[in-house]
Amino acid sequence: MAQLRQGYSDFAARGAEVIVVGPEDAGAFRKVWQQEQFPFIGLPDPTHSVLRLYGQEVNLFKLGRMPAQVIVDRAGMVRYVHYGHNMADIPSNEELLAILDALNAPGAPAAPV
Amino acid sequence: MARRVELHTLAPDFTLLDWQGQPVQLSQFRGKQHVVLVFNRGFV
Repeated sequence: MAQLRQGYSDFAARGAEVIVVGPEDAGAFRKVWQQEQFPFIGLPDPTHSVLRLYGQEVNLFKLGRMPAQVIVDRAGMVRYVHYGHNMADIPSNEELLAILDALNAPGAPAAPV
Repeated sequence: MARRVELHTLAPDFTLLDWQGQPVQLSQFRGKQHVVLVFNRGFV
């Protein structure tokens, strides 16, 4: 998440909000957000409702949840999905920013219909 | 195999309370901002 903080202004400059969803409860989120002063939204999902809705995988053999990233455009459409295959399988900020640039380009499919 | 979202389909809407207790709904960003959703593996 340090990576996200470093890139947060770049995401904001491209008209994007960053939302982190995790399985911990609000208390755990509060502790981390207050300690780290993260600028993005933190959503505790202790019942795993949204984590399941979006199909985040739990790999019992690798001891935990695999990271996943989804970009939703202004029209509410899914434009990028990355399901990690291991804990370190996280796309770079540059990759995510390139998707946002494409969404913001004239004539992009993300244009409101 | 867990369910996965599909590209170029409407993102499933949801509402959760943020850690400060404020409701956040995905669709509240519609027409305003793109959203980068990050599903974290946990803080530990």
